[in-house]
Amino acid sequence: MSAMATRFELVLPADLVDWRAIGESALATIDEWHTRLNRFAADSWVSHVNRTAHHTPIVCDEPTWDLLCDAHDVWRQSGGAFDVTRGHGDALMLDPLRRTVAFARLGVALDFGGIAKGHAIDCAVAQLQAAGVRSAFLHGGTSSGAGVGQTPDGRPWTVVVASGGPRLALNDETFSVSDAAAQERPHIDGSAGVVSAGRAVVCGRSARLTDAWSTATVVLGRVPDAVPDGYLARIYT
Amino acid sequence: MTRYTPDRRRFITHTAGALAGLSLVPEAADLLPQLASGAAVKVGLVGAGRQGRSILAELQKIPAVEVVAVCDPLESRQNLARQRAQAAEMFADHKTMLETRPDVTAIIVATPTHQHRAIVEDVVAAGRHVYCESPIASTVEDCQAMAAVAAAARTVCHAGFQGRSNPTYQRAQPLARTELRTMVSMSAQWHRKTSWRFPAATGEAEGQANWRLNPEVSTGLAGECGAQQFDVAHWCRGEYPVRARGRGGVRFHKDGRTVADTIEVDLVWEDDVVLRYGATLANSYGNQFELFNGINGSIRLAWTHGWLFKEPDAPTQGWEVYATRQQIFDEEGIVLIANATQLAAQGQLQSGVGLPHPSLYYALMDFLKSVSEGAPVVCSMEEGARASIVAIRANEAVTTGSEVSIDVAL
Repeated sequence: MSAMATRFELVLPADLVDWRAIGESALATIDEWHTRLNRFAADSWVSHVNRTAHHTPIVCDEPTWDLLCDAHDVWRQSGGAFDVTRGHGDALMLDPLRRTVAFARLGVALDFGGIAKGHAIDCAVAQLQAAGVRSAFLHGGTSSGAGVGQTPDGRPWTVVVASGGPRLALNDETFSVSDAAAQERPHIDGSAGVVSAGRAVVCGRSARLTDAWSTATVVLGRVPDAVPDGYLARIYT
Repeated sequence: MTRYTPDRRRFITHTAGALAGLSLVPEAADLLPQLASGAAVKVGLVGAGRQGRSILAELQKIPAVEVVAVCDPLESRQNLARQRAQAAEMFADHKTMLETRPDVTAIIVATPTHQHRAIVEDVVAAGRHVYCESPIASTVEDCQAMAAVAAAARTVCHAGFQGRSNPTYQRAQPLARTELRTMVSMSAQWHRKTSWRFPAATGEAEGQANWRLNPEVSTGLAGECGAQQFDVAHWCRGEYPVRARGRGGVRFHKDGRTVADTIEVDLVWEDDVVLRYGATLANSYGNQFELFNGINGSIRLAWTHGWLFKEPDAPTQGWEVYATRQQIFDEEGIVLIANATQLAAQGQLQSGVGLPHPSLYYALMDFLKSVSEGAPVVCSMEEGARASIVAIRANEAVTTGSEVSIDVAL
């Protein structure tokens, strides 16, 4: 299926009962997030937030709240190298009691371009697992993906990162690849250093976090100290 | 950082045919409606499946609404609903909700179609306002009964035919009678490539999850998808069709189902003008649209966008001079924005091209305005019953392969 300006592909074991319904349902989840997070569509949720949150706090559902919290955490931990507000991370106000998002000033807008694919993949994987799927592989544009369980014959899902990248063995893990050439120069505070060329791959439990940290890694030009435990980040050229 | 661009299918759906078309853009105030300030409307949702959860997502955008109750027999769906309605109390059935939560004044019904009647009757009997999803029922008898209940009700009874609430469609509807002059033909389609089969949730039987594929209760593609689009045609024409011809079959999803995955329907009006309708689960080309052709031009509607194409010999109207231009593929199209001066003054000229919310939002907002401000009901249960009867008869034409007459008397 096409979503988020790329092609998503899902591999399911052929002997799975209801494979088509389960697969369509997972892909529909990705499409739903595409619709909600597409800042180019006037009727998307994120466009509603960008129009409104500077004067009214917007209530978030639970998955969106988790996405915002993770995005904000990575912004803080990476010194602004990853930023869904394009330089206005300090103006993002999250109220955990009411589960609302608001902007502290005019001119702030959310752009989930660096994390949406990973988030959608996490949600689709959760749906696959809830449907009892124990083995599957899902990727978006080959730059973000997840191996659910192992292959049907009991081996880790193998991903070979092109252009000199490493070979990954995924067992209930996700990966993301970022390329500095594809990054726009973000706002970086004084402690974060300078933008550097290169490619980065990050592996870990959540595709949302591997997406965010792979972006932060190529922006910084080094593996950030704050990459969480259980996540493996690597730079290659 | 990966950047989004509008996907090709969505772009084509919203722009195909827009070359030299005049964009039908509603008035600025209609694009971003607000409820008057005051006490929050306390809402209960009955049915927390996909449509129910879409409704919750739209209600979350409205500050003056509090979703305080959700009813669904399945715990797994209650848990999903809770993600979008943090403070809502969960119920396994609507009767308990009606008995124990007298503060819930507005009830939204989004269960499978064949379950609507009993719930709507209970809600009205309990003196609450009700919004019922389209089609409102799966049998003519149920439609008539629901219309009768609504006619006697002292509360708001709103049928969820979204075209009537959609600001772009509200802009187009009078033009279909004036600008086209005499309507000569209509066509519409709903194309998706999907099985229409859903995995059963925990605790749910496969038959319950896939009620749309059960011919005993399903109104098929004509009812579940066509009803909304047929109603746009009734509304634009100001009258209902009098007969339907149909055919269909399982042409792709040969998984044992008997409900057609591809249909063709002709709805015929008294003056022999025909709406030619196609729906399929086997192909996604063109997605969803309605097209009205008259002797002075055509109107094409695609839910968030609409265009008017003038015939070369049609008279030019004064409002057409407020035109901006768009480069679409290799051609330059004219985007004409009605009330452009007003939109520009409010800095919303660009937001006027395409709606800032999906149709569902506007339909829910209309219902809530009727509940909280006493605004006229935009689509009554009686109108919803007539529109649903058309769709039910169209489905009968498909399943029997013969011509059926349509009588929308209630």
